[in-house]
Amino acid sequence: MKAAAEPISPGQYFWLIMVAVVAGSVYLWPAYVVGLAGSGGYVSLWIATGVAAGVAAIQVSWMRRMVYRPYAVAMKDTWSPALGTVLAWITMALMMALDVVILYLYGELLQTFFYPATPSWVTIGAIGGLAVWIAIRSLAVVARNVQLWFPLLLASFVVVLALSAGDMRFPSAAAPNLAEPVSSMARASVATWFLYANPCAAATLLPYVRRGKRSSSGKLAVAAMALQGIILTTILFSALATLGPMPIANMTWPIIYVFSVVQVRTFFVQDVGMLILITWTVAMILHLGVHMFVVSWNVGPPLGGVNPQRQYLVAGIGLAIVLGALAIGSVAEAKVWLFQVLTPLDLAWTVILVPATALTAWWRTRGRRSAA
Amino acid sequence: MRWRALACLLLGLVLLAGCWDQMDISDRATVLMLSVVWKAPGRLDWTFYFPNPTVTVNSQSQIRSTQQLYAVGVAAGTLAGAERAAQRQLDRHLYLGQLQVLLWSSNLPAAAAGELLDAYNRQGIASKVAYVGLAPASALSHLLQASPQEVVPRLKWQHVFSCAACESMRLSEPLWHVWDDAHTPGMSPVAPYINSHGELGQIAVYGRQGPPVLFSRRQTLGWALLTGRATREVLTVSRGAQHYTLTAVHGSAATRVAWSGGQLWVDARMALSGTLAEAPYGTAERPAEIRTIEAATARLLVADCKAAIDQANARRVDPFGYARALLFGHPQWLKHGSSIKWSALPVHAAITVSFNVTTPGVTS
Repeated sequence: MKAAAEPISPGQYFWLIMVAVVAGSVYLWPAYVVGLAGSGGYVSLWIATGVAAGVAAIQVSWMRRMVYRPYAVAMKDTWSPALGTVLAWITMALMMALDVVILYLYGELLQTFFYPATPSWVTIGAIGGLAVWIAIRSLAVVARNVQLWFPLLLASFVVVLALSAGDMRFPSAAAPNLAEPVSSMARASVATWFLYANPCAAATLLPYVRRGKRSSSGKLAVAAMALQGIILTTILFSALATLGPMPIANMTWPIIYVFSVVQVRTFFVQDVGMLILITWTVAMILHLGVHMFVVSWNVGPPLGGVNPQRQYLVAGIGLAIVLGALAIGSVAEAKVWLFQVLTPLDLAWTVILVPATALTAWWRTRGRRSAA
Repeated sequence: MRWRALACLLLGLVLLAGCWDQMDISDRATVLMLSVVWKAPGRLDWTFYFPNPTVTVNSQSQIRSTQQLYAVGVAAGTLAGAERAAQRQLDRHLYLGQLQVLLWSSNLPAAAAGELLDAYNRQGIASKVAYVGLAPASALSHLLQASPQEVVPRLKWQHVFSCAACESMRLSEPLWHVWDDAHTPGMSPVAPYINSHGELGQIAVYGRQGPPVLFSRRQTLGWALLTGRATREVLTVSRGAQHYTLTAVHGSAATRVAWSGGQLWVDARMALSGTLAEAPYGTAERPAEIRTIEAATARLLVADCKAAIDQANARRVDPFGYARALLFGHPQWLKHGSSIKWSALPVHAAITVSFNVTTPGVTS
């Protein structure tokens, strides 16, 4: 199987970045943030979105300076071969750890709302397996799948969101509250970061965009973050207007609750809101698939172009994520790991490493012209 | 490679489609209604109503209404205990995903009702859009008999609650509204009350503790007007010995809520209208006459609204959500003023009703 070769288009790059953030973990939004900051969550969300867009912009400019070499190679060239490898590996490990928790929680959500009689290892294993199946393909195949499915998922999501408009009882509760204390908004911003915690997909995939389109594609990574921010804002509005801030803080998965009460009497199928099950499962598979793809490219042996062993590496990564997810004991434990350990850790790592890498690269390559 | 891919795809289709988890519909005991009667603390009587599985499309028209539902009654302290006890009496899997109506006795105290709603709401597959209602304990089992007007799986109370054209006031509440209200500071949960004759026209409001507060029909009308839920109420206004009947009384309420001097102030302005349906024989509908009827109706409705507010103040409940509206505007007050019992605040209300009588009659 060819591992590199066929380049992707800027549009495909945009959809890949969209699916690499938010798409897998959106189902957890916005319970924790509303619990911390109430309707001040909008501010927290846009701070996190701004940080994500900034990180993406820095990574893109660093990639341009590194002449669009593969991420792992660029890290080695920026730092030293040993240090670059270690830093890249830690970044990948954090990404995988977050995927572990997110996959576990999604399996629990499926069991709670849809498959009460099915053990959660079945759904977790099936989603992990399908993500591996996608990730062992070449980048162009993954990109084409994401390009086909993700806009459709987005459209179905918008339909369900629009149908839930009739249940919005408290528009006044959904107005942004700017009087929230800065400390709680800051904590809520940190707790929002898990949605954007993909420190390297934007940089990893950029070198594979068609030659000549790369510098313009960098802007698309920032645009993808902004679009996800807009989607998350509408979800936050919908949850606040439907349930009000206090009940949301008591819930694990408020948005699935909002969708589960959508009833359309004129259709043959009443519970149209359950369409979201398909949307989120496909989004989760694509999200994990892209992440596994990114990790396998960045931790694998240096890629001159072809790496036939990559599929075994992907399978190993997938197995590690699934086994990790199965090792988590409870939803409460997973939430502590996600919100209090991994998310702050990943945020700190990202906002230190990414600018530091870009500055080091700039220092080392100063005087040279950056590539187009 | 192609075969491996195909195998993966097939496996994924089977696993992700949930086919292996599917249970035949004839293996499920689908609960359509659930009634809960409170006997004593920790002692409740639960009755699960199922559609009779022998009813088929062909037999529907012949089967008697008394045979359309079958009921399983158990005594248990909790919902989970009741489900287990009922399951022991069944040869099918008890399933709450299609519940349409949940009725409980009007003596169920606030804490027990909150526990019941929480326990139900915790179950992911249980239907959150089931309608809730309260009724006298003695009348519940009688009220839940299948109606001759309906053939299962259609149920009388599901239809009553979902029929927008049947209600003169919008009283019906799905379960998730009541649960949501119960968890929102500044709001007392409201549910419709069915009296022992099976009539719907009153509300029951839960305070912080004890059994719910019943609102009379008049107070309920006041509540419905203040919350914009009157849709087609019928009123009779008397002027001396003359009676005028107005139909389709409805309208909207614009409410402003303010917090001043440690008190909750409400300014409710309602623009209502109704159709003059009956007037004393031989009365000519002159503009001056109409204006007098309008003024008399407005006075009557202001009194109804005041009656609702007085009842709420006397029993320390807020079924209007006035304190909630205030808190939505100032969410930070919740954190700093947590000692205030927001849903038990007395309300100082200024009520203004402007009434417009329309006379689209065939005769005038």
